[in-house]
Amino acid sequence: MRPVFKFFSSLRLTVTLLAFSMLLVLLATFEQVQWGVFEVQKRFFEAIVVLWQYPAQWPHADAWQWLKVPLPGGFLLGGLLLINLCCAHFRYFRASWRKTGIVLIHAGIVLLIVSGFLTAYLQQENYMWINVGGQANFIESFHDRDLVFIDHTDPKTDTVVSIPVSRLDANQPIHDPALPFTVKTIFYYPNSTPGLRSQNPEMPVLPADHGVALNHDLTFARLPYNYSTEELNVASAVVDIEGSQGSLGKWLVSTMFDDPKTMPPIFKSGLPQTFTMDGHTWEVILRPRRTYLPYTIKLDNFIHQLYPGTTVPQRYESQVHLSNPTTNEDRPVLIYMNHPLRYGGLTFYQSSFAQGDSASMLEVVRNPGAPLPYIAVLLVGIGMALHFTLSLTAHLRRQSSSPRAS
Amino acid sequence: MSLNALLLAAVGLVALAATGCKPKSDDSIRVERVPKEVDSAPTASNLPAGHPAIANGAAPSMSGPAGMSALPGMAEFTAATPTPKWSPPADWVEAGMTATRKGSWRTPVSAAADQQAEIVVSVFEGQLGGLLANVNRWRGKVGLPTDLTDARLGENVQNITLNGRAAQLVSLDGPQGQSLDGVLVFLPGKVWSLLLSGPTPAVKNERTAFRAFLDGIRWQD
Repeated sequence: MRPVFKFFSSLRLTVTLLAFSMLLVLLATFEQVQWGVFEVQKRFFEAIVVLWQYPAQWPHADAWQWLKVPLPGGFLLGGLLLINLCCAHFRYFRASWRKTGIVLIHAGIVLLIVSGFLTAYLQQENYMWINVGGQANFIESFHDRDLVFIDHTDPKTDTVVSIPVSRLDANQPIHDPALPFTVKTIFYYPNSTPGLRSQNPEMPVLPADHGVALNHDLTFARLPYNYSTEELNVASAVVDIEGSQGSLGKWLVSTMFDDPKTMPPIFKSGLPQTFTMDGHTWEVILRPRRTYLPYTIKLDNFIHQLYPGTTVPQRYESQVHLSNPTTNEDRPVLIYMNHPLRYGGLTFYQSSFAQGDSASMLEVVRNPGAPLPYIAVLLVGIGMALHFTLSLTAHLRRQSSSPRAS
Repeated sequence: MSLNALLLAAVGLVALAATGCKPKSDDSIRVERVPKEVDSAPTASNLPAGHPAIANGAAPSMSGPAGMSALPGMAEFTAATPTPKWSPPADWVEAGMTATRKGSWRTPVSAAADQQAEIVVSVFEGQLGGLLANVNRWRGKVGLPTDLTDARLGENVQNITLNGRAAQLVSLDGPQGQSLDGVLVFLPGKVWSLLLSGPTPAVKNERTAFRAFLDGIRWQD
């Protein structure tokens, strides 16, 4: 037997990989306090290698923070476990109908690992906020941001050009056939805090000269990126827009301006920020990445009931109306806890509410691999039951055929 | 063994593909043609029958990562500021507490959730844009015009004293059935905001209790 095959099919490797998996889960759980679920998921589980550092919150951190240990990440452990399981199967398995249960169990575990990879690759999590009486035909990303230019000239439709913020580089002007102008990034802050210079003179003066920046002394100061799930990162940027005839202005954009309805009046003047070029009116916005849907969801009502005399929630319920002109669907749907709407490959969960119970947030998840863990667990369950039944039958048969002790 | 080697190679390739080629987030520029956006904010005409009126300009405020009102660092600042001593009335039920609130109650408990007044106490770093901006913001919340100027600010604001500190009280009744009593206490580097808001009947019913609550506050910072 070749040494490589022997190594990859060894039980010692299985135990080592499982031990590293447990260590990874333990360390990631500690790190989650500082970095939040999303970041830890990326750093520990969707990575080949993790460089673990002694956490600043642990005792004697000053003396031990130099300690950095490279560890196998979730993807490496999962991949090796998959190889190990398959190799061990071919090394030890001898075809026999009595081993059908074992085959099913192995197939289930392989499917479970594969479904983990698929989820990491394909799952997308977004949200949809709707006010009571309002409607939405788009979902927005929790984490991705776009600099967006919208051509409002057409009376019926808007042309939306979305530039991912990863493209906002001060040294790389953005040219695109869809945009009749060049976008130069002066700065982009993934997280920032707003302020008025009249109130906080120590805050920076921004190099913006149009739109919202023209109307008052609003400014933004850069903040470290916040990984907490409790708070938002307020992204902001100043971009210089240059047409063929010269600059069309330096514009201050921020995710704070995404929805002018949510803004205090002091920020409202100057929003929306628009400019005209070659007879086309363009709006510039920095906002969460939107995915437009071919259908509309209208929130007819939101119900939030408490148990009488307490603050214990009894029921959250979004009464929505789904309208899809492409399929001529127009029907009411109830979405409440553990009763999501599954439609068009998306699952809409009741997630949150606000504004005095007059706005509902639906978490919208796309996960094509979602059924796989159920199938995997079913396979393992059937495999275990079958293996137990076959072993018991064989044992009973042996017992009945052997001569009884007198 | 050759079959095993083949299978091993196949599995290895699949695993390497899975582990080594995690797709980067798409950074291409997207161009879409979409129908004109319909304003999703509720208005009196598109609310369902029987639904209470909602002030224009009201917005999703908390609970979840999409809420836009919580500024970075606000939760830490709130946690670091000592909570005043106070005695809320017995029929106020603590509800809706978040990391960016010092106190949060609803009342009366016997009413339906959408008929209850809400009392929220918060503390903000800085000066929160000043008195005029906040009075205009509150006017917008109850559906009043937001064009108040410094010259007419006095018509809306009453100067009071809370436990030795100067404070400004604003009492607003909107045309759409929403009311708000707000108090701002400007201190160096921070502002205390104490708000009673909700449907007009519920707010009117609680005004006396709210004033008594204000008078009973003992600052600890």
